[in-house]
Amino acid sequence: MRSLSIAATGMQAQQTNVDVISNNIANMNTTAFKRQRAEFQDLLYQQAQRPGGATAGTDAMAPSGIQIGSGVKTAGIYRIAEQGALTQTSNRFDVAIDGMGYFQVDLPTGATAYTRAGSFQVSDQGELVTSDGLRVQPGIAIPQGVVDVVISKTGEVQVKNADAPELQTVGQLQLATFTNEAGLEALGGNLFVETAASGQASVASPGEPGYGMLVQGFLEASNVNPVSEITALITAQRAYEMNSRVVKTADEMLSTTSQMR
Amino acid sequence: MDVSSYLLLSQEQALRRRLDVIANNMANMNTTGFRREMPVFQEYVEKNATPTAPGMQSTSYVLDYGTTHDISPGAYQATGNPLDVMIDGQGYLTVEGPDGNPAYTRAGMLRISSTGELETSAGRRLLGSTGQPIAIPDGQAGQIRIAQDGSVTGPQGELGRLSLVTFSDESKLMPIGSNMFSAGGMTASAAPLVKLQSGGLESSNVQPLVETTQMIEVMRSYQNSQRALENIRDLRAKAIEKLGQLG
Repeated sequence: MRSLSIAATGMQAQQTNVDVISNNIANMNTTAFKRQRAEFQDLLYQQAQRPGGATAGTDAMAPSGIQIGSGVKTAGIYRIAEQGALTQTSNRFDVAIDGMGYFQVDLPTGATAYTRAGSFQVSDQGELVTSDGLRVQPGIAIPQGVVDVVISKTGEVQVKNADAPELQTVGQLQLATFTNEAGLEALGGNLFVETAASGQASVASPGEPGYGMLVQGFLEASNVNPVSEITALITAQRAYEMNSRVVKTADEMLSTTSQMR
Repeated sequence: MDVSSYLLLSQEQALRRRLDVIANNMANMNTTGFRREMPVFQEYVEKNATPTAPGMQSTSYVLDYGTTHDISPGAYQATGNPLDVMIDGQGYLTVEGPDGNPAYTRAGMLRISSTGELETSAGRRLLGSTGQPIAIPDGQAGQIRIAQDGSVTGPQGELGRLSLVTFSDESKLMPIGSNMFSAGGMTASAAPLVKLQSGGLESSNVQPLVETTQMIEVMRSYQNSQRALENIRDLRAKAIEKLGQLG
């Protein structure tokens, strides 16, 4: 009775699906969160009779064969790198990326992580840091006594001192892109690190071909669509129920067999 | 010879096989591009050499014949992802199969591999109309568009064209797992009438209602045949009892 284990794979897959959907819904308001999607594949097929096998002499062949599938598996959990909506915050250190690219930040280990959540702040050292206090790369120092900060579309950071009439450039923000963005490994805290699957980061200034532009005073909202998540949740729950129904049917058939006299 | 219990056994085996196929369909209810499997059964007629009554000349057993798949299209599911494509019509995308030969899929969840080529979610490279994988230059990953005819364009022009193929008899394609089919001896021909719709996926064509109804039917038939077996057993016991009394 294969049906029991086949239905079990179905239930496990739907469980994973519900896990992914609940994580999306939980992060509906997380800055620059990218929604994920569980992708499923059918498992291998067992050939009970090969198609083309002779059934009666050499002239008669089985046209289709008997293949019994063995269920479903999760192929992967894919991150959909669709642009989230830009929401105005009017905070001068909030920077949204409109287009492709990630900001680079220094991890405490010395490695580089990537993020699209541009809710920056200034540390006690005067450096531009993320809301978790991780330093932005390349390092940008905001001098003391600054009255205004302007971040251009192309990433130039300029400050205005109280006593000087002119803006003074203090640094240049840069963006990193990847061949396969979906291959980045999520660390949590809106951070990602590069993997063999994502490929190496290529770094350039915002606004270069293939790189997004920066928008000061805005943040990128998450790209989770609540309506589609809820419908996906309903589908997943029903699919789970139906697979459990298969388990029940297989069980009843087995019990009929065991009661045979 | 009394073959009634063997007849019922053949039916029960067929029913178990049917439940296995239904279970696989149900498990793949949410698998993109999955095609519902349908078992086919056949009557196997055995001639009775020594008929005891006019109606007893032959007995027919149930025999597994094969599985085919339902080729009706699944519903379009909008995802908004430009790398998701749905095949509109009876066509397949060509991918590099596990054994090096081309394999075919309807699951259009495409992505860009770390080496910069278009691949499926199973990590199989997609083959273009030239038989070569489609390479996406660095930095263009977010700006790829897939047109209805399968041409893949970046900001600097066309990068290649996905190979869309069709078969003389789709139900003969052999599923090999991971949403792929192998040609099973047939030759693929180009499908100019088949269109791609990007920004959405084809959901599986399993209809939960149909599968559930069939499952109930399988279960009831199984129980009926068990009951029939019990009746046959009672009948035999009674016959032996009566015959014993005669002596």
